[in-house]
Amino acid sequence: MRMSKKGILTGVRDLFSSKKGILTNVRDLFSSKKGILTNVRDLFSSKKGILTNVRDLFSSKKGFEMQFSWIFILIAGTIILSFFVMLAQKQLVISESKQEIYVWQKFNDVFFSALSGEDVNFVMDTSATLHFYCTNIQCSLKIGKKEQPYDLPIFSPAELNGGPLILWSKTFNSPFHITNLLFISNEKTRFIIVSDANNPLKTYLENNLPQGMNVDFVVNAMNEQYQGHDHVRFVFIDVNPKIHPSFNDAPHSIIKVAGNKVFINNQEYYFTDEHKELLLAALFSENSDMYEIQLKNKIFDRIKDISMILKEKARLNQDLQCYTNLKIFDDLASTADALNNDLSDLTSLTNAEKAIENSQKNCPRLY
Amino acid sequence: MINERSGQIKMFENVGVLVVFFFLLMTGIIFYFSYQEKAINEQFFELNKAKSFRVAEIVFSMPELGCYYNNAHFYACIDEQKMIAFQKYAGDHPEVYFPILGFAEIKLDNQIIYEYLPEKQKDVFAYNLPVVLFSPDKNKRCGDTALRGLCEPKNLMVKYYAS
Repeated sequence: MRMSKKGILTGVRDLFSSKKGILTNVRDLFSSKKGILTNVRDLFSSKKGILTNVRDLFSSKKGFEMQFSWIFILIAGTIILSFFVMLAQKQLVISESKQEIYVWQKFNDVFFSALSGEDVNFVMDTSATLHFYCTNIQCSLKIGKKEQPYDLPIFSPAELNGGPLILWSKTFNSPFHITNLLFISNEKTRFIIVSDANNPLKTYLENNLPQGMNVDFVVNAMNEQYQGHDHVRFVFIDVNPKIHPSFNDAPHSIIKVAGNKVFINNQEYYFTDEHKELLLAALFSENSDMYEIQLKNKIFDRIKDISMILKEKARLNQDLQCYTNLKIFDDLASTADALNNDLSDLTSLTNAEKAIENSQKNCPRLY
Repeated sequence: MINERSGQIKMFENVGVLVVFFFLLMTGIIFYFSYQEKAINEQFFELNKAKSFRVAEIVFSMPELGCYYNNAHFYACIDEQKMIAFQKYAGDHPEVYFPILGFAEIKLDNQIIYEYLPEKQKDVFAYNLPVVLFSPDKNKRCGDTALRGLCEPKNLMVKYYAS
């Protein structure tokens, strides 16, 4: 290579302008006896110095050609680089879209199964992050960039970072079938249920929580330490809440159950023996707002609508000396409506349900 | 002089090679992405198609329409008395059932059960599904089931409008 004495720019010009062509020259450069590093060193140690070479270059006719070569290299390099960056980004978007569609398809299957009244117990393996959120009007699920409102009451942490996801449902009857409550959790969310060994609610939870859930039943929470989970939910059943200091800076939440009261974020809610599903809903809810909105919009509103339809069905059977008192349906609807304002009066709901249940005796069944 | 000219020719050759290279690359990329876009659109279409089929299934399973005995659900069965009540109630309160059924037209034979049509429609998916229409009557029995009443085969037509 001749370029060591001439400086780097002249060398590059030679590289482009020689008969051999650029690729052959580059090959020569790498295969020269002196080696490429020595060539580069020579270039910088030339007598005139590199800056002088550059000045000479730009002030001559040949220099103009050189300048063009450099600009050309820069532009071509930038285009190639940006092109591949764009390609990579596009590919990323496409693969994300495909993953989102797959997860949505799976979710729609689960939603549908639960909506159609079947009991769902499903494990979904996904790497997608799920965001659940509610406004005053509706609740939505967001996966990637796509979000979709959902009709089922879904009780879940607000964010689930991948799977395997555990999805299961529980029927809600009042006294006729209203809907299915869908519960979602993952292995990264740990439940620690603290109660006396013989507590009936503990037994209820043991029998009703699905297999595969990350749940521990303990007598003393102080023995449990933080193990790096995304979130740890403590449920204290008739026990004073006390947790190990390792949870102080860890993501955790505490739910307290006392008698038939459940406290989420210090907000007081109720459940009854007839509607213990509401306790499950409270345990899985991210916060009191999400619990309340779903109860109101997706359960009590549905009770109101379905009881009005059954009232019409009952009216059609009145010629059989049945369902002479249609007020019981209005009572149920108004109780459900009242629960939208005050969630505490579940006893009235149970009474209204019993009245409808009793009215079916010796009559065509309404449900 | 001769060296410079041949150098210029080489340089144009290089530029030519790059132009051809980019042209081929761009053509390939355009084809690739248009194929990917088409594949994704097809998947969305399939998703909507599946959703439309689910609307039909939801109709079967809605407690407002379905046949139940002691809260046990009978599949693909529509309770006639509930249907009459539902027609009236859904007609008066369309906002209640739109979140569940969306833009759709649901008919049992020629009787409209639910109708909520979009202003602009993209894809329409229509299905005809065999169902049983159950009319309560204590002197009759619906097949081998616990349901007391008459059961007739009918056709449920579901038209789903993807938005």
